[in-house]
Amino acid sequence: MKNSIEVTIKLFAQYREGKFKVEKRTYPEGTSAIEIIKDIGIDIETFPIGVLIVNGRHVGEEHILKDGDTFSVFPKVGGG
Amino acid sequence: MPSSSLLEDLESQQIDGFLSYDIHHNLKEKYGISYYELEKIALENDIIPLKYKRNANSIKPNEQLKLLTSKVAIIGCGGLGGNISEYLARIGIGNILLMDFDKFDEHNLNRQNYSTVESLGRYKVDVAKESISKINPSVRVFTCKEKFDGDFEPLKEYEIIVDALDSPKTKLLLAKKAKQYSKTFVHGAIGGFSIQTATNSTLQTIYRDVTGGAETTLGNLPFVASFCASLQASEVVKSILGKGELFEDGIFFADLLDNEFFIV
Repeated sequence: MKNSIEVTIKLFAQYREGKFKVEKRTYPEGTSAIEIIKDIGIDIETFPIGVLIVNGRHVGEEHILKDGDTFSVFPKVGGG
Repeated sequence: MPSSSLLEDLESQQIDGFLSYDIHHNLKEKYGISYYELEKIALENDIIPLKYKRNANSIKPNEQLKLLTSKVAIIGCGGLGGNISEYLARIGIGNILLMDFDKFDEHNLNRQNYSTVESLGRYKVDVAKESISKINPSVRVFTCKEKFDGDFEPLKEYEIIVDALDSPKTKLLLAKKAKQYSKTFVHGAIGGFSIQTATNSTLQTIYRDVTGGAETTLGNLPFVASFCASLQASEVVKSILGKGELFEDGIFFADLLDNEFFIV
């Protein structure tokens, strides 16, 4: 039986629509950033992932979250 | 060396240390030199073109000269590049390279500076150059009507490279080139109500792949483009003058829909 972790998730811009700005969620230990994004049900086909931040530091999609982390998810912007 | 009679003319015709456009123009004609050259001589002698009067003490006379002799390359002349080039021309950056292969289309009118119903179908860089010459004739504008594909030798000659491109793919290529040439690189991007900007970033943490972002679905809005362009122009000027803080330690994000602003 795995331990669980509590993560504070912050969504930005379009990712908030129909979802939330900030929410605490519980996941099994070893959960990655992309697994959380998929669990929340963010439409990354329409709005691809931009920057991922955990506790103020840039991380990749495979980053493993820890208990008490704050995880921020920004959609990509690339227009000019 | 400027002729002594030119210096005497400048000295006798300046008013309270300022040089009006009419006198600037007349002396340029009289001595057969360019607006740029005459402006440089004036600034070297602490005479400020009147058009810069409201730059006042934010930009000191020696800094105004530094801006005039600086060289900035703006890659992309759409929503960002159009505005950035105007801001830089107005503040007095003397050498600007504009690169964009595209012509004005009707769907540019909502946000792209210099686009009008009359300029539809014309090359963006040609219209920009004409417009800048009317705003500040001292600015030397160089244009290139090619698509940036990762390689562009003339970039070596510019001290600052501004990213006003419209796709992560080309933005990444430009960041790479700027790093290779050891140039200051001012990134900006927009999509929907959101913007981001960063200086001297390789963009690796921003773009994990080359696909487009929110802009492909949400488009680009006029005040979002000019907001981002303002920040980029500010980064350029501070970088040239070596003062203030740059967005070097993080990426600045703004969401104008929810009015949220932060550096991560």
